[in-house]
Amino acid sequence: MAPRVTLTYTTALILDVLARGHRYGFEIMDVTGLPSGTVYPALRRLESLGQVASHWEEEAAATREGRPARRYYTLAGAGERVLAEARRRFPALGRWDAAFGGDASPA
Amino acid sequence: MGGSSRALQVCDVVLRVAGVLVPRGRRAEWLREWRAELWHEATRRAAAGDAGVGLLLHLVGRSLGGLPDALAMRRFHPAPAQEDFGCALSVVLRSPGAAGAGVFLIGTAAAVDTVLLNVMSFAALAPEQVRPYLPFVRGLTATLVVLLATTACIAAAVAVGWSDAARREEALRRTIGVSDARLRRQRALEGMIIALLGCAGGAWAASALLGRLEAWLSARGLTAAAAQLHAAPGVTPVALALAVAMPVLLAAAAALRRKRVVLD
Repeated sequence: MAPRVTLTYTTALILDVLARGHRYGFEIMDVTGLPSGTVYPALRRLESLGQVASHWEEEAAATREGRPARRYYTLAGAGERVLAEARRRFPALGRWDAAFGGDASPA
Repeated sequence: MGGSSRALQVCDVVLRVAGVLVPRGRRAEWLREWRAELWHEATRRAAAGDAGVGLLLHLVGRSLGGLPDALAMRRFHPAPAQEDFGCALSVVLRSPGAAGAGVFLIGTAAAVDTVLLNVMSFAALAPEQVRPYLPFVRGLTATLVVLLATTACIAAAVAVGWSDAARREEALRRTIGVSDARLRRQRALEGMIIALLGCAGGAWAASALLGRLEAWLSARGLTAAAAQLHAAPGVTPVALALAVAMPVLLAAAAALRRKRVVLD
């Protein structure tokens, strides 16, 4: 039996943001208006459930630009299924950028 | 960039504190991620003209999210048991005195807690009904046990730290040339304190041992012997014997440790 996943609006929002191409924690905060103490724990949970995957950007590329490498998060296969369910459950999900005044396009 | 670098230093302190909660195997990567994010945020804000207290508060506010994140890391990526065991073992090996003192402190706290709860139950509930189920039937006994157990534990902790005292003496002698007479006086004073604490601990240990012995005899039907033990004024001599033995043992242990003192 698959583990029961609690689908909160916050979780759905983060999945939605990731699906739109926003990739790192602070960007998700800026876009959604959620605090760091909410976004990162949610990302950890989603990652442990296999709904989100993460990887480090190429170190050499970051070094060339004189900045530290960032960790990027992307939607995993299980996350896409959960997001589809979330979009059915939360019809307002698609309007998150207007609600929070965020920029819909990824950086 | 000076303001943002100061803010990043403050954030780093927050992250280091929170990072203790992150499983050791993932801590470096966790810190790297947070530092990178904060660096980018600080740079972006500084480029936009943000500086001073506003920038500091913003970055610290974001870094405070590291604490719930660290808790989440521990929850969703639990450390393997051997990592926790290895960590505990390294603490014991690096600082056996501190580890021993910690264990004694926890033990004392548990004992005090148990006794206090018993006393409270005795006072608050119907004493006659509760009394047979309490390990310490008299309030005075309970108070004494708490007092003696605490001092015994302190004595043990001090004894564990005795080797440090020996190192300190050697260092004082070599560096600022403290005279042997002064060191002897200091040692005598410390010895007296240890002995006093040891006496208290000995008395506590004696009463605890006798209580167990009495229960053991009673359980085997040797009630007469148990009653004799209980009634006998032998408790005091045994307690005194232990009280004398304990400081002697402590002094012997300290002497053995002193022989191992090596200063670089």
